[in-house]
Amino acid sequence: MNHTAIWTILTKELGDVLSERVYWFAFTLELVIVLGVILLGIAFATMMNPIEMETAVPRLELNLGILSDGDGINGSHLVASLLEEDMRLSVVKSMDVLLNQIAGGDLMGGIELPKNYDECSEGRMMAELILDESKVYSSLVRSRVESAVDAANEDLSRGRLSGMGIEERGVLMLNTSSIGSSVLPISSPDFVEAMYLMVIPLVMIFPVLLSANMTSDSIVGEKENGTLGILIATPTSRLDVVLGKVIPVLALANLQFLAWIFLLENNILGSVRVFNKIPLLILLNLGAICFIGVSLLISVRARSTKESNLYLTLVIMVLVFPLFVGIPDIGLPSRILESVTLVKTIGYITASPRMPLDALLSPLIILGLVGAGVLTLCTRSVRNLEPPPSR
Amino acid sequence: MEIAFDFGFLRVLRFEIASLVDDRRFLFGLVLQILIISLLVPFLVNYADKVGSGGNVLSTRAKGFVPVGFQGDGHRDILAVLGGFNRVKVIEVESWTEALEGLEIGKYCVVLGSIENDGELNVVYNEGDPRSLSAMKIIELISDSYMETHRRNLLEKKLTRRMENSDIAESEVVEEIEKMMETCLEPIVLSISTLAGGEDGKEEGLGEHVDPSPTGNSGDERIAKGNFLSLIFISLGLCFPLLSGSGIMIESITGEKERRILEGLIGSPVSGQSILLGKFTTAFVVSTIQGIALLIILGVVMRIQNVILISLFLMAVSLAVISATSLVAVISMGSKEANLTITVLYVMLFVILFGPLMLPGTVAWISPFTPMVRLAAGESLDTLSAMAPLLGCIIFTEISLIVCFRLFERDDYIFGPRPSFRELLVDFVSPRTHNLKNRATLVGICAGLATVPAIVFPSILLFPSVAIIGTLGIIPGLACAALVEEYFKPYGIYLLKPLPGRREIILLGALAGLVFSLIENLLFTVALLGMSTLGGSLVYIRYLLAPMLHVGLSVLVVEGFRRGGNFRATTLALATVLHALYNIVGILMVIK
Repeated sequence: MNHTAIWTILTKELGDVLSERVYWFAFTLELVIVLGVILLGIAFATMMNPIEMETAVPRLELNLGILSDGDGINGSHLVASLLEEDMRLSVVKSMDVLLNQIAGGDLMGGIELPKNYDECSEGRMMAELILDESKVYSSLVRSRVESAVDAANEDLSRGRLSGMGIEERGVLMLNTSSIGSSVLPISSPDFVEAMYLMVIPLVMIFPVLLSANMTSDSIVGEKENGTLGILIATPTSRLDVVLGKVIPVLALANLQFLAWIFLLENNILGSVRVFNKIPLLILLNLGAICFIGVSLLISVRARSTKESNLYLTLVIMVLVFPLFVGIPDIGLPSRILESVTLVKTIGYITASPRMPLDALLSPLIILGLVGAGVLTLCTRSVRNLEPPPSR
Repeated sequence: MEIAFDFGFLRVLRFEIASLVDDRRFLFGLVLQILIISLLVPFLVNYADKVGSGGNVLSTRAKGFVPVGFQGDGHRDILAVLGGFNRVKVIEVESWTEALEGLEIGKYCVVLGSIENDGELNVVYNEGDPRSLSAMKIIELISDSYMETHRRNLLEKKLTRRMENSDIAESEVVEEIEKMMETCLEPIVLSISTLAGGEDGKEEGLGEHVDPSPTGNSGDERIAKGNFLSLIFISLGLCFPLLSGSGIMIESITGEKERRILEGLIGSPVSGQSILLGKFTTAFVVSTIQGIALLIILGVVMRIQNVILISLFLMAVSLAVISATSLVAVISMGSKEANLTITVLYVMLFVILFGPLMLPGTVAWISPFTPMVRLAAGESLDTLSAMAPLLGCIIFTEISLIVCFRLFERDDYIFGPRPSFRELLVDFVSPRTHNLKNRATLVGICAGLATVPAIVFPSILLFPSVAIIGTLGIIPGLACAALVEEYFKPYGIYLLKPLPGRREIILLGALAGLVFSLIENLLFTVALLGMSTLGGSLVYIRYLLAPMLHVGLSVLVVEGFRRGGNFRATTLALATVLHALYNIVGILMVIK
């Protein structure tokens, strides 16, 4: 291995990329996309369970109108539960007033209770929640009212069961306690799954794809420009050529990995802790080597840049789409493929405070083998290259 | 702008098509692309259906995501239920101490400890482990379900005994028990009505129905939402042929430029416009054939409706995308630059084409994909809805192609060195600015247009800086806004060649500041119309002080520009600092 030759090719390739102003623009765009994706993750969690968002922001008092014509609501379980949910209640006497106040934004929602509402009666009571869905707070109102109704139902149900002489013995009782302190801005399982199984893998795969894109024209470009002949004529070994092409792109990808990890852990939108950074970087580097290697292989085999770009797009489509939307279960091949896909493994590694060796080991071995195989194939293909015939 | 067409482009088209047909490997790639997309789209649609039916799509790859330690011999039924959850991985532990140790080191995110024949279940979770939230949700779900089943069983026994002693017919007993159970277990039934979105629950909706999404589905109709997502995935699949067309365009212009083949071609009797048009038509033909083939396959497999009309919209989008790519290809000097630019362009196109689809009301019609999605869903379109996106695409194509033709005529864009954007503009405006009136018009137009970068650039910076460093991130945004405004306001003066005299430059600088300020105030007024923020001393700052400041600082910048050398940077820096201070004072007043 000739270090000087590798260094020369490496600095030339790195210089080529960094001198492109568009690369810096792409990097900035990627930054905005990463932040956008984090916001999407938060939006997903909020959409799935809006009440969880209140763990991150101060709890708001919500104005709710109650349309009722009786005294049954005084001291009722429902009203008590609504007040516990930080609702400011005001009794409204007519439906028109209620609807106007909701539409005008004076009330954030309203509950219509039946005539002669009485929780002491034995029958069921139908309550209707009226919301204006064009208002951003409507889902929050809905969640809080649903929680209040659940709580009221629990109290009433217990009372009714007890009134029938049913004692709840032998019921499962959870004695819950915790250790440690939270590392997330929102205490929502949906947020955890969206972040660790979707957003973080997506953000980490961006640099891998950009690297593959940058390598796609490296050899075929030299072929087309007629500089491949000069490169081959130099005493540089073919392995040096491959390493000289791969290392700078990999170095840039690593800078991006580090930047995105920093950004995920330090932003005011919704910082999330990324565990096991070193194993993650090893895994990402192996994944990047595989992708860059495949791209280089396509570049060696292709006869034109357009052919190289076309086949790289196909590889990315085939490999990336199923990673995100899940792999159909077709038995053992699915399980092997699932264990080596970056998306799943990245999610498992970054969410676990302890290094999950069982989840990490097989992807590392398989990716390592694939990467080594692809690089060997690349070197062989470069070795077999002939200078293009002079035009 | 005069563009002279001839039919020479047909020769270029014939040549380009023939070389594509000769390239068997590339042709194979194009066919392969159609096949892969045809396979992938149903796969994505299946995913969309899962979303639509409320299935947890993330759980498909979350198998064993949540490790739970279980210790003890009691509650084996809970253990079995927990094991049934795809994402839970239950690990039985010998002792409680071992379980707690495993919890601390992150081996488990939650540990459960049970005592035989005792109702209580000890649950300890690690708050520092994000996965514990998922585990706790599942455990609470099981606990609730356990409680409900338990209550139902007790109640059923009690009610059955009571019914046996009553006169109710046996056939009605089950029904009666069910009714009484409902009364006991869910005394209050909540239904939900919306003012703007129809019904959700047992009661009817109270208000007028409004379409919140382009397909007219309310946010709560999960299946419809799934279908909407399916249509988006289908549209996404149809976008891929556009990439082939763009690739062809980049290779045949930038690639040939890089390989110095284009020089020979330019020297041939075929005009530059014909060469460009021929290459453009080739790319368009290839992506159209691919797109229509794909549309037919998907139309049959996925039962998409209005295939012919959709293909019309697809062709319009194809024209616009390939013309944008042509611009990139003509401007780029190398394949690397072109590939990076095109990647950025794809991201922008993705946002422009798919972003509006998620927006409610008429905003969605910005995207030509909105009518495509509507048509694919089997809906009909009125003429205006159909024509607006089509015309938008055609106008965009025409403008892009005219710019392409103009740039392609320039030798420096083919042979290099490539001129800067400002040099290009200088060449364009120089012959048209012989008198003061024209110069003033140019300076005024440029000052008005400067509001665009003045909004765009600081916004791009503001989002990441506020996201990373919080409220203090506003400061770089304000500084950037000041720099961008001060630089771009007198842009028209930078384009004047030769530079006019000192008095005229100062006059034009003042004009630039005034025009910019007028447009800025107009935008400000429109944006804050009806808001109470617009009052008090802010009005004086905004409408009196701001124009004076803009005029003064523009004069300072253009004077520095006229003197040249270090004066340019110094006056621009001084103006930026003064402007940034003004911005900070303004923001502080608004906060106050």
